[in-house]
Amino acid sequence: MSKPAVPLLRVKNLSVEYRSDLETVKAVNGISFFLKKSETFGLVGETGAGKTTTALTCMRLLPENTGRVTGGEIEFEGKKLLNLPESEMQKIRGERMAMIFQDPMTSLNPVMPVGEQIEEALKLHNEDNKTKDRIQKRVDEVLSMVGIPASRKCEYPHQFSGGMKQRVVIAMALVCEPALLIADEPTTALDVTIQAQIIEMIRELRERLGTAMIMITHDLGIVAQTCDNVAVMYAGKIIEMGTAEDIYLLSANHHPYTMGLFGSIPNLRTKARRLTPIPGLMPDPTNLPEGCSFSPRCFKKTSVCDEVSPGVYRNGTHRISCHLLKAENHWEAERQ
Amino acid sequence: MMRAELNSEAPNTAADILVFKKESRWKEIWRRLKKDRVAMMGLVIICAVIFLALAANLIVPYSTALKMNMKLRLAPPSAEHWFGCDGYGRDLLARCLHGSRVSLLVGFATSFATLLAGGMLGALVGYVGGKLDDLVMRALDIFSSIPDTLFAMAVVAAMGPGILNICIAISLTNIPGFVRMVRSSVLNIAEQEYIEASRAGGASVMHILSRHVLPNAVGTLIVQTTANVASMILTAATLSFLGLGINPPQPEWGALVSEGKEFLRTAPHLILIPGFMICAASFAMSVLGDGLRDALDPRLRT
Repeated sequence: MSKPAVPLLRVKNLSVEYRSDLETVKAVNGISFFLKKSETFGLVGETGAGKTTTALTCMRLLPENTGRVTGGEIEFEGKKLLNLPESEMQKIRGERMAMIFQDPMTSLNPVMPVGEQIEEALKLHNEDNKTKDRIQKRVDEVLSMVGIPASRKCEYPHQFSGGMKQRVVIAMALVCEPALLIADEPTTALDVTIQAQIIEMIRELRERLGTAMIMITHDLGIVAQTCDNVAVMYAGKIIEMGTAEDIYLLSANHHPYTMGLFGSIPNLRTKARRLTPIPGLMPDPTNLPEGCSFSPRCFKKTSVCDEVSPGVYRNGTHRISCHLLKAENHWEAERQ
Repeated sequence: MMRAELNSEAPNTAADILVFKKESRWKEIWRRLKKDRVAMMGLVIICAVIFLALAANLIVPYSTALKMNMKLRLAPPSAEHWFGCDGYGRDLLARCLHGSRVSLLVGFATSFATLLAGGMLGALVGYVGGKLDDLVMRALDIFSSIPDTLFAMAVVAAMGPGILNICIAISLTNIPGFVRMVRSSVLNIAEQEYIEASRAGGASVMHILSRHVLPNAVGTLIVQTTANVASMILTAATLSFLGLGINPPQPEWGALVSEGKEFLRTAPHLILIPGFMICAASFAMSVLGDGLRDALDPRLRT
């Protein structure tokens, strides 16, 4: 904590829209965060909160004809990603920054042996002219690192189970030892036992390789297990951000949405016939409400919430964007 | 610990695997194709037809195919003339054999040219999309708004008859349809997550096209191309019939059928035999294509 390390990734005021002829979807609305080397950053929120869009924007993989960055900047290893030409971006992707996709069933090419898919990134980023044997050796190494016998690399994706496929996908992302790994819901498509194995493996690999990671998920348990810092997203905004302790400490102040999220986790010890969900749905991203986007569902809503968008309040490492904190001690308004 | 162990073993296993893989790819496809009896039958027929076409001069000299003998006019099949004789008393067996050379050449060359040009163009516009897609597809719409035969006739008329020009004309008429088909199948593939995963790995457009998109479209490409072979032979026949294809004394399967149709009632063998040849070749091509598609698809492996 003595010297502020240079962040590996810094996202500042990023806004992203999806435009079609009929409507404009405001997917991400001015989010900022940064990520240091070998740190894990959790991005949580409901479906449609803009988590995946944020990740795709960092990789510059937004769908070309609809996705548009309308503001902000992304800095990665000192480079401003949004202005880089595509050819430069291709060098960064896979080599410095890699992504694990959500669904292992569809993110592997069905007609290519898995070994070839893993070596693809190595071959594309082969600046130092590694020999074929070296590449093969590295593929074997990565495969055994994720717990798949290297002898299976000539097999096709359909010959693997779901958990094994996800391991292959992770091996693909790790083969070049990237500085930043973006994991977009890496365990959503898997059952719980495999989930635990994969999370454990990701954690181990991170420790071994020192890779920084953005963990996108809607599973609060996974975040608690793996992340150093956490941001809660709602309707394209970060509404609460802090260290994992800040977010998970029940006695601390929280955004009403975060409280709602935690409240909807089933608890074995208390008797309840039903879960307690947050009432209502996320606002329509083509037509966001004025003021706080969460106000229509908020149980602590006041009249000001419908009119003024809340600023960010800060207490140490913990930041919350909610009007309620104006009245709290230790919390001060932050202006960026 | 694990790493050290792995490294000590790695060179050995890696080399083994590499060798194993290199051999098995093609061997495996061949092994699976061999299991498919129908496809093998197709392959045998195709090989036989190609062999006969290549060896036509050794079996009967070309002059036999042109030698007229009015005494044998419309002679039915006999021990001396296995396939009988045509309206000018020419030996039909010799004409069929020598005709196969032109027909097969036109069929294969045009299908291959269509596959190459149409496949690349279709994959490119399907994957890249946007303005390029609009531009190319509208241009192709203009081409396909002209009736096929008319278009081919215009091309041959402009460039003059001759096998090469016929091939060009037939390929040109077939490319728009082929592009459209490849494009639609590529549009599907381009949306798959593994394409995005490959982009996330830093792959360029050309790399994705050649390594991911086309291998996944290969089934459609093969089936359509093998089906094309037969239809191209028939288009060539149409052109010959209109006097724009092969010049009359020279035999060609399609031309044989159209010559024979005058004698349909009196000497049906003139149309049945060359017609059967075309059928056999195209049937063999399509079953071979089906078999190849199955053999190339790793998901269907047994």
